[in-house]
Parts: sequence; structure tokens; C-alpha cells
Amino acid sequence: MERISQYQLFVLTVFFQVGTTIIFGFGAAAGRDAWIVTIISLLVGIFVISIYLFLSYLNPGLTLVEWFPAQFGKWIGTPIAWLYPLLFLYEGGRILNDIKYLTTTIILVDTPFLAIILFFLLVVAYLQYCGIEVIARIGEIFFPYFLVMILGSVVLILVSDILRVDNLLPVLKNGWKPILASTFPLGASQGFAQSLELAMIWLLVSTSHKEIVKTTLFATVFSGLLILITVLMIITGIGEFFYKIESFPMFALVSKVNIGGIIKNLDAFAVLLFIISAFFKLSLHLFFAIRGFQILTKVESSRKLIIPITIISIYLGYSVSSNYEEHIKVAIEVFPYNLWIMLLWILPFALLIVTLIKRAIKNRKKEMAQAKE
Amino acid sequence: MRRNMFFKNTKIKKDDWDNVTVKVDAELIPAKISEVLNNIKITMGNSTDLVTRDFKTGKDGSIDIGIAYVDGLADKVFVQDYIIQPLMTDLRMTGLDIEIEKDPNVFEVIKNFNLVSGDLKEIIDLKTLYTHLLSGDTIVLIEGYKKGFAVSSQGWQDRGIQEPTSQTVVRGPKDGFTETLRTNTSLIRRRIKNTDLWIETIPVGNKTQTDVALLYLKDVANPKIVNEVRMRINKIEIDAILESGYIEEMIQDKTFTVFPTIHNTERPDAACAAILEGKIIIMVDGTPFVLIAPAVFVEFFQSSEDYYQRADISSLLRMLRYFCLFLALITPSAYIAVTTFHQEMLPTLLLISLAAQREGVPFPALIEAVMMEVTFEILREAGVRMPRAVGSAISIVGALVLGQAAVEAGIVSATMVIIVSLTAIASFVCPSFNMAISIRILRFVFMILAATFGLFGIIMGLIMMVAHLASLRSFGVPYLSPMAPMVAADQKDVFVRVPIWKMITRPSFISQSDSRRQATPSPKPPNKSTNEGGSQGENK
Repeated sequence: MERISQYQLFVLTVFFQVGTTIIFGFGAAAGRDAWIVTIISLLVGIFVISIYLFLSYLNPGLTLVEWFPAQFGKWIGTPIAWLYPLLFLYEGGRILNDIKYLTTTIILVDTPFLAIILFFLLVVAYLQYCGIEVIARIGEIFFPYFLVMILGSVVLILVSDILRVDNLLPVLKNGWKPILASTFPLGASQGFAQSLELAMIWLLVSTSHKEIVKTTLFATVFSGLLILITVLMIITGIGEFFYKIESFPMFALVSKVNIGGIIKNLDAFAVLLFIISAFFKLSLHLFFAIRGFQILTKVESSRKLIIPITIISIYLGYSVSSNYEEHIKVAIEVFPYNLWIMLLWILPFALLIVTLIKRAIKNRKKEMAQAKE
Repeated sequence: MRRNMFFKNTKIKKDDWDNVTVKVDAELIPAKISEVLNNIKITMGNSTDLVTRDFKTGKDGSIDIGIAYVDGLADKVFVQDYIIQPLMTDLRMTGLDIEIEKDPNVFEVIKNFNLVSGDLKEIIDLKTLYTHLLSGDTIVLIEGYKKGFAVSSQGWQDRGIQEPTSQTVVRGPKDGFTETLRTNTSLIRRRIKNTDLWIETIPVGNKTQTDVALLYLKDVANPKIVNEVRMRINKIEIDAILESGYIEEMIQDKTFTVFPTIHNTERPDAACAAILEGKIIIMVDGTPFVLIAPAVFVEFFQSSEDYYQRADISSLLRMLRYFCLFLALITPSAYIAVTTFHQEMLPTLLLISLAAQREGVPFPALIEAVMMEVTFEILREAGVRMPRAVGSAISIVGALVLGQAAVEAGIVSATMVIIVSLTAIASFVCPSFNMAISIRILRFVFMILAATFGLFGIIMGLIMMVAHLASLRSFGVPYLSPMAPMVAADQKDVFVRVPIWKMITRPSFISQSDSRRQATPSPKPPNKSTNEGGSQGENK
């Protein structure tokens, strides 16, 4: 069985949570108060991730898709469990769409979608063949460079003097309502509650459950701070108006960097940053999907599923949305309400309640049995 | 074994051959000398370098003795002075006859009193006889005994210990391995005077019977890896081993990769350092290149000189090497990507200058780059293979005709010549030749990726390359360790080389036993108090 280390779990969690967020911005609907959304989302996220970790503690030795059959029984639990790999697969398709719109808008203007999707998936599929150990290892290799690139862009942005703190004012002009609206479900789910997927690999980590809890929560705070820094920079750099209307606000910001007329036009580097993090997110989505299907269908080798899943992903990448506007609209207005609320919030909470009740009954029975003796 | 999958017939033939060997195995030495010597002559087809001799000695010539050796392998003077001389003349002059009369076992008497040699083996079957004969030993046979002696008398012409040509250093030992296995093992033994340094020899090659030696520090090396290496070498079924490259290709983990998973060196000090890290050295008779297993990626960017120069210099040079790795891999493809897809990334003036240069060039950037890179590869290969005498011709042709004239003729742009030369020089910075070759192969892949997908292609290519590297293993050790999986304690010798006194433990990804290298704290001059002299400190 493949094993990953604690540090690898940390790296994968950060990559997974930061994912596509740093480029698309976070809580854009709340305008200049998006940073407040980020903080609240982070707090809610920590809470919900703790619950997931608690669930994994209550179901020792089981992955996410095995929790439901174990607690709800075979007939109710299995259909619910099937929803999760399908969700992962669909989310993978969404990432592919992000990439195809982004690359064709910014760096490869005339390249056909299919070429990009196929090339991207080719690399992802190769990684699936290599397994989670290798994914974790390349995560380890790229993580320092990823951080250096983020820090580098922060330094460049600071040096080129484009940040205006005035852009943050006035705080809470429209009250708390828009903030809460963009916190739930979108903000708290995006990245944070999505970490439920990581329950597929918590079992593989070669440390105690306590260490996994520590690492995951630490990684969550870490990525929350990364997102917060990005959001603050974008708002102060380009202002509320552009933050709301730009498709890729991070690019709008990075392309404003100009140091002495020499260091400028760094969009391509920002794309690289984005591609790396999107790549890890997609690889993890597909890995979790394949692993979920493997456990549910009881196929002995997950390798057999890689090609079918990749082919489905090609189709999804091509067809999830027909244009960028639709893609974003679904991402903000449809998808979180229809899928995430159900799968990332209601079902896990129901599972928690059922698990606790079953546990309580079991304990009661035990006590009674002991009392009888 | 792998070969059998493709050629079904080989298997049958191999079985036949096995049967033959079994027969030879069983064949014992006949008691009659003439019979044995004839057997040798017939088996070896009366080869002209085979020398056989039989003579009578002892009182009244009662003892018949036969000797055989291969001229050129055996030391003629030694054979003359220490084998023939004592047997032929001394045996008569000394009082040995009395001994023989006392004890009729002539064989034992001769063994104990006459053969003046430290390395003497009794042999009873013909197969061993031939192995010894062809290794340079002298065979001594005595009439009436179904056994003989193999007296070690090797003495052939070999190249002396010279400075290694493939891995040179400014500071450090200048001796290099030679083609003789025994000389090579002695170079190691001279540096590591420790009973734990174990040497195992395995003959490999059905036809060549080449000696392959494993060297390791018994208490440091990981026994699992030692067993694995031994097992893989034992499994080799091949007719000939002519260089350590044969062994390398036969025993490496994954055959489908451009990256070397076994390191090689010509330097005894580098081999010793590897042994002391718990690695295993595989020496092959007949080549100065010894193999080091297991090998990890970063090792190919370490030179033995890194440890002889000061730590700060070495760290800087090492970082320079990684930077050059990046340059050698990416420069041409980055140029292609930027000029083809991302012109906006360049400062305007530079862009105008580049565009003006490329104005007259009839090819797209990819064709231009591939053309020049291939030209360089041709030049390099020609430089390695051709006779030394015509060396200057190549440099003239390379520099003038292909460089300057190509630009002036408007076939390539001057920038491209700069890019190609930069790449070429950067690829030679890598201390290990076989890693440099892998980088050069991948460079072409990256150029094609850059021409199709621009920077996106390059970054995906990099991810794929790192994934491939991360999936490789060398004898169970992950190829990218200690970076991935991350071992914080082993970062001391990756991108920087920390001072020797900081290298307290051996790299843990190779071996966990006896991992402490030195005592802490290391010997230091005594602490001097701020305002008093050194003598005060010494008194404390």
C-alpha cells in the first residue's frame, strides 16, 4: 500500500485548498469586503474540516466513500457514496474548463480547446499511473517554487507601488448581508469544505490521527492566509470595480507590475503559477474519483479505471460549459447551491449525527450489558 | 532471461550449453600427465600462447611433473624462478629425496617443501583447471595423482595508475582506477583500512567469466540492498561482460528511462565516499569505471571536489550546477516559446532587436533551434570520436563555418548561436557525463513542447519530467530523495554543502545502521573571551 508522509499531506492540502482560488479571486461578490469573506470562510472552513476529521476518527480505517455504507447501511449508504466520486469527477471537469478558458484567453490565444485539454490530461493521466506517492513527491518538489513565486509576485507588486489601501475603504458599506451571502455556501465550500475529498487519503498518511488533524488544520490556516494575502493585494491593487468585473483579477494585478520598464508583463508567469496549482487540484480530484470508484466497484487495480476516467474527463472538459460566462455563472450561482450544500454540508452533518447516535446506542448497550453482569 | 521472450530458440540452445557445462564439471583430472596436457592442448586448439612442459625430477627421475601456463598472462620470470627452478633442480640438490622416501605421498611433500608461492590451490576437476589457467595461474601436475596445483603467477602488462580523464579536479587525489580489478580494489583498501570493508567476487559471463566485485562496508551498507544487488548480478545470463555498462543496463531498476539510475566513477576517492555513505560499489574487471548503487538524482551534480574545497565555495558551485541544469534544459525552448507565443513578455527594445535579427531568417524558431542544436551535437560527437590529429579542423569548421558564416548567410540569427552555445556550455557543467546526455535528449522534447504550447508546454513538460523522476527508484531508494520524499536532515548535501563538521550523520535514505559519522561537538579552538588573549582561553 502506498504511503505518504505528514509533510506531503501538508503540501497536498495546501495545493488543494489554494487551487484555482488565487487566480479567480475569492468572494468577489462582496466587492471590497472580500477579505472579510476570506477570514469568515477560513473560520467556518476550520470548523467544518474539524468535523470531517472527527468523522474520520469515528470511522477508523475507512475512506470517505466507505463511511456512508458503514453508517447508513448498505442499501442507503452505497448510493450516497456513489455521489462523491461523481462529484469529484465533475469538479475535475470544471478545473479543466478553468484551464482551457484561461490559457486560451491569456497565453495561447488561437489554440483549440481540445489540444489543451488533451495535453493537460495526458500529463494528469501519467500521474495517475504513477500513483499518489509520486503525486505527493512532485508536490514536495514544486511547493517551495510555488511559494517563492507567490512571494516573488508579492515583492514585485509591493515594489512597483500599485497598492492603494484606500481601495479597502469604506469597510462594510453594504452591511453584513452580501458578506454572509458570499461566505455561504460559495466561500466556505470553495477550497475549505472541499477538503472533505482529502478524507480519501487521510488513511494513507503514515502518522497517527492526531498528527493528521494537526497537519490538516495547520495547512488550512496556511492556505487561508495565502488566499487572504492575494485577495488583499488584488483589492488594493486594482480596486473593487475591476475586482468584480475582471475574469482573472490576479492577471489584471500582475500585468500592472512595472519596475523600471524592464520587469513588466509578467502575466505568463502568473499563468505558470496558476497552471501548477490547478494541475495539482485536478490530479487530486481525479485521483480521489478513481480511488472512490475503485473502492465502490471493488476493482482490484485502480489502473484499469484510469483510461475510462480520463476519457470521461475529456468529454467533461469539453462540455461542462459552452462559454466562459456560463462557466463562471454556474460556478457562482448554480453549482454551490445544487451540489456543494447537499454533498459537503448536509450529508456529512447527517452522517455525523447518525454516527454519534449509533455510537451512543452502542455505548448504552455495553453499559447495560456490563450492569447486568 | 528477458531475451528469451523475443527469441524462443535461444532457450533451447542455452539448455544444451548447460548440459555441456555439467559434463565438464564432472570431468576430473586424469592421473596421467600426458593425458591432461593433451586434453589442454586439444581443448584450447593448440593456441600459440599456451605453454606446456613435462619433465622428470627427483631421484633417478622418478617423479614426472607437468606444468602449463598461458604466456602473457603468467609472469614468465616468476614461473621460471619459483616453479620450474625448485621443482627441476632444487628437488635434486636438497635432501628432499629422504623426505620422499619417508613419506611416499609425493604430492604433499612437493606442496609443503617445493612450491614457493603464497597463493596455491589444489584443483581436482578440469573446469577449475581451465579457469585458473586462463586467469594467469600456472598449473602443476604430478604423475599418478588425480589432482594438481594452481599456483598464482599472474603478471600481465597493464596500464599504470594514471589521472582519471573523465572526472578531473583542481584539488584532490589524482589517481584513477585502471583496467585491473585487483589494482582497483587495492586503491579502495588503501583508503579504507577497515575489516568491515568486504569484497565479494562473482564471475559473470558464460564466455568471458569476467570477475565482478561488490565492495561495501558491512556494518554501514543496508543488507537488503546488498542482497538485492548480489541477487540481480547472480541472475545475469549473458555470454560476455566487457564493461561495467553491461552490468549497469542489466541490473538497473527501470529500463525505460533516459535518466541513469546507477552512478559511475573513475575516481577512487569518490568510490570510497560512496562506500562510506553505505552504498555498494560494483567493480568489473577490464574497465576503470566502477558502478555506484543505489544512485539518487542529486548525486549526479556532486563532484568529489565539493568536499575538498571550502564549504561556501562548494555550495556556490553546486547551486551554479543546478542553475546550469536548468539552462541546459530550458534555454532553447524558452527562446522558442517567447519569440513564438509570448512576445509581450520581452522589453520592447529587446523585442525589436530580436525581430530585426530574425528578419532575414527563413525558418521558424523551432526549425532554427533544432538545426543549430543538431549541428552542435554533430560537432560534439565528431570531437569525441575523431583522431586527435584532426581536432583543430573541427574547431575551425565549428566556430567559423557553422557559427559565423551561418549567421552571415542569413540561415540562423545571431541570438540563436548565442543560445545554442550557452546551452552547450551549460550542459558540460554537469559533473556526470551520462546525466548531461539525458538532459540533452530532453532538451529536444522541450523544444517541441515549446513550439506547440509555449510556456504552457514547458511547464507541463517540467511537471511530467519531475513526475517521471519521482517515480524512478534505484534499488528501492526513491530517485529524488532526499528532496522528495523530504528528509530534512539530509538537506545538508543537496543544494548546499554544509561544512564537514556539520555532516554528523550519513544520508538516511540509503542506510540507517551506524549512521553517526563523527562526534559532536567537533574539535574547535577554545573559546576566546572578548578582551583577553588566546593564552587565557587555552589555560581554561
